[in-house]
Amino acid sequence: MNRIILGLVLVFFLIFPVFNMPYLNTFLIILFMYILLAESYDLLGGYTGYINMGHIAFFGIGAYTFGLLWNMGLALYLSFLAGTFAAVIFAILISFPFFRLRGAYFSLAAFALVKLMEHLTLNLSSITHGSDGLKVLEGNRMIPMYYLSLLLVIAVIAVSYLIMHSRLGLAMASIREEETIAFDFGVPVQRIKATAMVISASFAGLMGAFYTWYTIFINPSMVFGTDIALMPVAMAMLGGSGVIIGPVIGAVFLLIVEETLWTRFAYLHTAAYGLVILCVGLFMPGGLVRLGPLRRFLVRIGLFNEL
Amino acid sequence: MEIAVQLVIAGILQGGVYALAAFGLSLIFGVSDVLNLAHGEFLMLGGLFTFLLFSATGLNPFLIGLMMVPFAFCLGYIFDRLLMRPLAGKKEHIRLMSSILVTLGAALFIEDVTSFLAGAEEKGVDYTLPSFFWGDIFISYLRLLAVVMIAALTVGIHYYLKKTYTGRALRATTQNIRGAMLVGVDTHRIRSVTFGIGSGLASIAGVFYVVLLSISPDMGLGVTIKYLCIIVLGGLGSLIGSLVGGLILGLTESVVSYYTPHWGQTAAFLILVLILLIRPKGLFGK
Amino acid sequence: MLVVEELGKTFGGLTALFGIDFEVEKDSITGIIGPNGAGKTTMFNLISGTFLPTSGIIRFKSRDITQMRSDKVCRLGISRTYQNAKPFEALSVLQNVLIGIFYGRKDKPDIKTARSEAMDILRFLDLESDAEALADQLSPLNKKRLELARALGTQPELLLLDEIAAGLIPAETLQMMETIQQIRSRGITILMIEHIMKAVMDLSDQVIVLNYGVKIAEGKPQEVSSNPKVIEAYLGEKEEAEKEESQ
Repeated sequence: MNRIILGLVLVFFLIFPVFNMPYLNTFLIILFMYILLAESYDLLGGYTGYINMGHIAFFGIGAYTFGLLWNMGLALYLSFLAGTFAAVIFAILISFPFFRLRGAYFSLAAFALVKLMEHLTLNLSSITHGSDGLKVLEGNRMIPMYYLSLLLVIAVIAVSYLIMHSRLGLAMASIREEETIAFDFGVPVQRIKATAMVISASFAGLMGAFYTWYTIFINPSMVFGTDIALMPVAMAMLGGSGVIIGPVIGAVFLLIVEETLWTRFAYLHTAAYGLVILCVGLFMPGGLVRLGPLRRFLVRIGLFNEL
Repeated sequence: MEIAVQLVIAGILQGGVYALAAFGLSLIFGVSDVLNLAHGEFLMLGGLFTFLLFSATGLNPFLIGLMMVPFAFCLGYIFDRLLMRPLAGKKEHIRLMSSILVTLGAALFIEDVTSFLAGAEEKGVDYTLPSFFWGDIFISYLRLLAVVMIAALTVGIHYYLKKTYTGRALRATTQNIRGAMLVGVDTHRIRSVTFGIGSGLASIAGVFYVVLLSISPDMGLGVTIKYLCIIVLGGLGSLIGSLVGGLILGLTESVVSYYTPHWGQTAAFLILVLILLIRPKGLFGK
Repeated sequence: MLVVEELGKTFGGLTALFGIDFEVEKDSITGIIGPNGAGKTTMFNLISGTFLPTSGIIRFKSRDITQMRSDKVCRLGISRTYQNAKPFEALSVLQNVLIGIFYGRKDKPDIKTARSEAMDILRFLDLESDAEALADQLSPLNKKRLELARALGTQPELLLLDEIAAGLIPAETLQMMETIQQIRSRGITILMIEHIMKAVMDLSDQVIVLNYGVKIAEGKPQEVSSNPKVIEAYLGEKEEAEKEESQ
């Protein structure tokens, strides 16, 4: 029964562009993007407990790498791959030093890294065009971007599901619960954390490449900015960290709240937005998905997958 | 040569202001072990009210700032009591997540409401005192006053932590929260008091900002991140750490900005990341 | 099975252990007792590889494991429980045991084998019906059993138990003692830190007494309990406590 519903939902999204509603179409693209970012963030944050406030760095690196290489003449598909690859290499490199930090230290250092990337891309303007931004070949890519984003979201959810039911997922959760004891019992902690970060980064990086291709123009604050950095993290936490459908719910919730507030309140919509986030943080520490009624509903339809 | 000294002095001054706000945040973090993303808002509010009161009365902004400290303290105390206390007992990564959400939400709220009520533009206080030359070096009384105040505050805080009961209770809570509870420290109250102190320090820093630089309602988050980075750089709850961290950042910005404009902030963050990688607990962290 | 020579540990300016020597025979149960702060858990941490000693040698089955870190030590065949039972709280009982089976052994079993072995262990420890329950929902006794199960999953030859009987009511303590004996009869050597005198004295083949980081006595339970130095060490502790109360 659940499979049928899920299947119908999937089909709906697959044929959506046929309905020819560009505003909603664009909204969905943004939604898919944020879902992807929140889900890929949660692969590291929710499963291993390492709250990577710098997750967006992978996105931005993918975005810029793609843009630069494609402009230099590299084939489109290779450029997409290169963006992903760059994010992966970056993740591997920083995993060594950064995973020596714990808790809030790790989160802050990661965030500092994003600020650093933002400043570097601003200042190395000979390469990145700084605040003028990077521009790529123009084209109307709304439909393909829609499908690419949707596919990537499906992919990240599928991968999350696989990990959750695997040895790797178990190891990741043990690190989150008691890292030192996990190590005592032979869990290769450093390797697992690095693996989680790499998988997390690869999705974000590829999405970054897609993003540049779609929006044609990127600048440092668009892909490394504080706001866009905190959004996926807030979405995952608000929706429910460690549950597959959590970040999805968080993204949908926050985007809808933002849209509603923006259209209803001429002023103070950000304040209301902040208030919403505050209340969820205060009263629903496990995120929306762990609220009694919602949780029961999701369990009943088999969509509550928690690690 | 004079340029170098000038730069160093400017850097030290800037660093001192950083250290002030950073230290408050370090105390808060040390005691409550949560990330407070709303810290910059207290700084902004401190500067804002100074601006408003100065525009209305023309009083010496530093006097205004000092008068506002009790208010900032109360605000911080209430903030903790209402918003942070419920998070205290949770498991570490859940507490971290909740504190990010709660303080981020609060920061967004404060920024937007302030922007709405007071206008979103930058504000600055033009309060000039004469300057003088020391040999060939240009020093303004204003900045000198800033240094003196910061030094006095640092000594004051140091004394407070070492000698008074609440100060020592605070340090005890930072080091070992269970132990402190066992010895009869009301850790919840201590945390609220610490929050108040931290907010008070932030509001004073805000005064410096509004006089020496400028403030605007949306500066909060950026400032907070910077200060969080400084305290992590310097090491938790360490007075020296925040001082040194703030100074390093201030100096780096000052010196680098002079030679290669735009790179000041970048260099600062670069140094931060590098130091953290070499010493994960920060320069003076335990 | 285990030989410890001149084992010492200093943290900064504080010396926790001053050169301990002892041996543990295969298939025996050895008890380690001593007043609080004597260095017992520190010694466990050195053997299990959580900390590295500042002096001395540890030999396990004639192999030098002095500088070996805890993950290698675990795979070599030494496993442990912790003083305040720390299972992986948000994971199920079964998952807790699986961790040890998947990562704590030299061989890498596949999921099917691992699951059936895990269930065997749970059955042995009477936790079978709680297999899918989350660890943090267990009673104190069952949490301790879970710690045992997790440790057994790594197929240890030497099991270190840190105050496994602490916080249990007498009836539960008896159950625990029985369980420990059953574990020993499966061919696992046991080294246990305990404060519950009855448990230690009834179970142990030999007892080692530590005080202030030094070994002050060693031998059969009866010998040790009548040793004047041991009595003084514990009595001294009792006297201190009484002195403080009367002040």
